[in-house]
Amino acid sequence: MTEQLQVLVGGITLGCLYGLLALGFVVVARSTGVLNLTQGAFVVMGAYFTYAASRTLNLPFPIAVLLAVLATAGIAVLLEALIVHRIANSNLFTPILVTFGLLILIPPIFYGIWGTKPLAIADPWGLAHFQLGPVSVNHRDIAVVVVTAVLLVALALFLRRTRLGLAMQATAVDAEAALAQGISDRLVHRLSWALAGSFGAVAGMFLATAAGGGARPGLELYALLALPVIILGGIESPLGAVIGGLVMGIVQQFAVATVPESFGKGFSEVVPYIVMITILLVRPEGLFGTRKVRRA
Amino acid sequence: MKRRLLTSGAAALAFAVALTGCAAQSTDSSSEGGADGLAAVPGFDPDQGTIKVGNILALSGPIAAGAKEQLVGQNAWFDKVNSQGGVAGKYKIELVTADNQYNAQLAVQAYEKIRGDVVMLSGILGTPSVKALVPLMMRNDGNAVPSNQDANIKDEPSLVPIFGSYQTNVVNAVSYLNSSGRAKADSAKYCALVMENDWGDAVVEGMEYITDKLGSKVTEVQRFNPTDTQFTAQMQALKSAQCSVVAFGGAEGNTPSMVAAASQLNFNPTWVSEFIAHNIGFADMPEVAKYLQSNFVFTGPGNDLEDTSVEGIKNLKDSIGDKPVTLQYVYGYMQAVTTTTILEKAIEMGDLSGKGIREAIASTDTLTFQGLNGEVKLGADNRILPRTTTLYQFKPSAENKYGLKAAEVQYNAPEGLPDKF
Repeated sequence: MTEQLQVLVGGITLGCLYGLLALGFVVVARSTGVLNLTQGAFVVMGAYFTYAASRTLNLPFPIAVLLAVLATAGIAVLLEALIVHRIANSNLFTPILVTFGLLILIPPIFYGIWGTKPLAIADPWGLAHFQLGPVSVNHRDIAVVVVTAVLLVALALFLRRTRLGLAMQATAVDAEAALAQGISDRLVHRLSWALAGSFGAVAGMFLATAAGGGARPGLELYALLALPVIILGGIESPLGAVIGGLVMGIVQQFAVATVPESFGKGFSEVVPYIVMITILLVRPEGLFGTRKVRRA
Repeated sequence: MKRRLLTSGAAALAFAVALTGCAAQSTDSSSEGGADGLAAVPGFDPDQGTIKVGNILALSGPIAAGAKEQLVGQNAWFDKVNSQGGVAGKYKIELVTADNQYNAQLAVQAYEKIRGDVVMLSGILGTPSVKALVPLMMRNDGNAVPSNQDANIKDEPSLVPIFGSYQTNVVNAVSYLNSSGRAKADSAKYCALVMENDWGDAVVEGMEYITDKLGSKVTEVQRFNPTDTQFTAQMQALKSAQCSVVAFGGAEGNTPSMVAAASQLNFNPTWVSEFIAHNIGFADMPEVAKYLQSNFVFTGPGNDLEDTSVEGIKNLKDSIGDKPVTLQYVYGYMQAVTTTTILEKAIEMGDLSGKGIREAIASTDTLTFQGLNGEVKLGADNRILPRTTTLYQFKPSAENKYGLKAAEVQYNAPEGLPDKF
């Protein structure tokens, strides 16, 4: 039983990290209809900006993270304004390819500036852990779970209780009608990219902790691991992103722990995708996606 | 409709990500011979007195730091040779480098780009890249000294393998732990935590061989994906199996996450790991460094990295100055030494074309490495890779953050090794 609980804790942590990575995709897809692959570059920015602020500028860790989030959000807004907005409505594939190009282009700039060896950010958790009965929990894992929950609630409140949030909702539902009501699609698109940049930066910071291995080349790939999560949860549902992440994380960890070798090499890695396909067969729009109703 | 398409597109991308695991010289020979009768071939100009040698390394991407150090190691030897007049005393080596980003497809493109400009490759980084290039090199009479420890390709005629295999390193490390009393076979429980690929299989194969020789067995094998950051499940299984010696088949990017999970569960076996799981950056992660110091034995080629009485170490130190000698430098240096050895032989035989270099490789019986590794036997059919492994402890200091200190130099397991390793 203890072992199962320990695996569950690992799954929840991994799931929250997936959820955090997926939130960035979701907030842009929901508001602009673009599958924004630049999300991976935001993860890299968050990691390296946090490193620079915490280690080079010697700022307190919370301030360093805040600065990293703001800097990443700012760059995200610039990218949207200068590049993506011009082609956002062209067709389905052009924005995807352009954001993929940005994903290829941006990370090497950071590796060129900071080098390629792992850089430890000054995170307050290190490898510290505590016992919760028979189960051991890393301080960093608690932080991942708490921050993901706080960000999800904050996003929900923002979308439902603020004018800007409602404007984003309106644009997501019917961009033309929202425009007719005086809602600027430019503002909404830039805001969604700023939010995506912020989520990516926080995820990057967590991936660059001592337990994550530091800021290092290759972090951009982790964002792509969240793609099955957004499909499972519903590509435009923030709650779906986090629930989908949790499902994927927990299933993956239990698959590692329980799937016997006789099932074949790497089978445990495939299990989350089997879950994804199964759910999509039943609910093509994902767990929390909205089914479109077309009236004749 | 757009939403449905968006979902479909994302699904396709997700599968592409899931399926993604994470270029020799022409032999058209030439023209007139040089002063010593050597004909000009692509990559060799007898009039200018230069031999161009290629490298396909991951100069960008996740393992760029190690790749760049390998290049520094190669240059350390090539610069020394050039300062003494060049290969055979007269031909200066020039390096042509290409970046494969640790990607086999890019390696093929890089090879096609440079193969007409070089006589051979003194480095290819990444087993998938090496395997992708072997058929091309066989077609084009290309030859290479790969950064590779895969025993399965040691007999490829186009390759000059010089490093001990993964299996050999595991065998020697476990044998050493037993013979030194650090982990006696009669009480140890042997396990493995390995990447889900051929490398991982090789580590397990080595572990199974030596445990069988020691009258024991491998109790538990856990696997992981290169991009995994959560090792709790695997670590819990290893702990439950009461493993006391665990072979770790992972790279530097996996180490901190693995150490985090082991620390979390207060799991402290003796870990046996290739040196590529170590990175100089770990010295700046105190808790990771502390765990590695207490629990890890690293394996690799080399010697006492501070011992300047060893010719290879002295030449490296002379070249890199105050920086600590790393095993990546040693790796590159050994490749360069091998390259000039083969080129000297080809010059002696009068042919620097791809075919001529292939013949020079086949005519070379033994390779030695200035005290940096055991010898390699290059038979025509059954090459024997180095039988020895140097075992390192991690002991970083302010002056030497790299911190790998030789605990046992070039250990050779008395239990013996099969030729296939």
